[in-house]
Amino acid sequence: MSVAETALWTDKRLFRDVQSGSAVFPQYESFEIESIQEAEETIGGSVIFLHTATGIGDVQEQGVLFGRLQSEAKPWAEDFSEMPDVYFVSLPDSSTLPQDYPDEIDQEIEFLFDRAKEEIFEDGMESEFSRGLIFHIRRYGNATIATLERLIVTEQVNAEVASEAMRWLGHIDHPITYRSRLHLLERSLHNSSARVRDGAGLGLASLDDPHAIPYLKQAIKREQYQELRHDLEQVVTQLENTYSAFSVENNSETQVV
Amino acid sequence: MPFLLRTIRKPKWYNHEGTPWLVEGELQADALDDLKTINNTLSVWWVDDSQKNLERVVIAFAANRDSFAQVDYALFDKQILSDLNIKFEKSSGDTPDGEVNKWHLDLVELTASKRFSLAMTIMVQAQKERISKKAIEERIIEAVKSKQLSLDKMHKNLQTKIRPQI
Repeated sequence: MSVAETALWTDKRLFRDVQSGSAVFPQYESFEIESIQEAEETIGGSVIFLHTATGIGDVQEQGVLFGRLQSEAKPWAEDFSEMPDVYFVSLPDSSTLPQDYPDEIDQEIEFLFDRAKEEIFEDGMESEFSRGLIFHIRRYGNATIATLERLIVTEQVNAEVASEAMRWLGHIDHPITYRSRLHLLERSLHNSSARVRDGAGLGLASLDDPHAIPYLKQAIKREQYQELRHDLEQVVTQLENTYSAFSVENNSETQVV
Repeated sequence: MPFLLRTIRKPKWYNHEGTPWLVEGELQADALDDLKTINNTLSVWWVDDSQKNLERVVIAFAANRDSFAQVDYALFDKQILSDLNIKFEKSSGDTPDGEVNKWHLDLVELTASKRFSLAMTIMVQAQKERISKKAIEERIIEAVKSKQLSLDKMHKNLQTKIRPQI
């Protein structure tokens, strides 16, 4: 099975959505590839591709760099649906990378998390941490989400602070980062900390996007802790009600009398 | 017997099943954050025997914050106070619901050991529940429309979100 198109990501903080195009990397276009080796020969440098088990389309839509890297030697699966989540990133020469974002983003976010360890968070109340997080998201957009992804998915940060981050990722109103936040929350349902999984569930409840339903259902199947399972089920119920309401609305709009 | 309500953050109260390193019967240290005292006093809300006023208390509490969010709470039997020899006093609450403000209690003259005992009792005996952010938002808006909640007493962030909907 060949890949019709692929999205290429040139820097861990910068994103290139092949569909929408970008003036940042005009030399990168979408093209058909049959293998990693072929892509490497075409683009040059190390090439690793981003993908999800559901298909290449998801990667193109989301425009997010995922933190988990796979070996370049990983065999190309015949059927993407059988692959576990496989993550790739393209790494060209650093000299070709534009410096739109300060190198300090990672440091700033890590510092934000570090300071927040001393805070006691309350639901529904802003904190120094939430204000700092929102500031960075509004200022640096998806670059901030990418840093958060790296820190949270690789479990490098305090679980309580990560859980609080999850809640605010769902709460903030910021269309540019919507998809990347949704995806980070969905991924965080896998986290080894029950607090983070709960935070992810709360963040997804805030977004109220039925896209998360299958991820939540998978998380519920895996979840051994009954109390958390129950809370995640509550989120699924909410999202399914949202989906039903949306479907009814759409159907009634298209009704022909 | 009536109940008492204290808001919490549920994950801090996860037992050993939800917290692998925790020994059975033990409580996470973070849970004590939810019983933070000021001047050895802890704020709780009275809920009647039939729990008819429960939702109203939760909504009033939620309306006193600066953004819509879920409410996690622990509901425990008021009898616990007698069992633990904890004193309480009526004091006016400070929510946008004048009626709910009358249902506020302070647990007073708390010692560290009483606070800890209360935490352990809550862990074992209290009902711990969550009302979702979406439900909270809907209920708050209804309560503002019915004048149960005073919009002017709510945080500006909430006022901004609620005004277009009433």
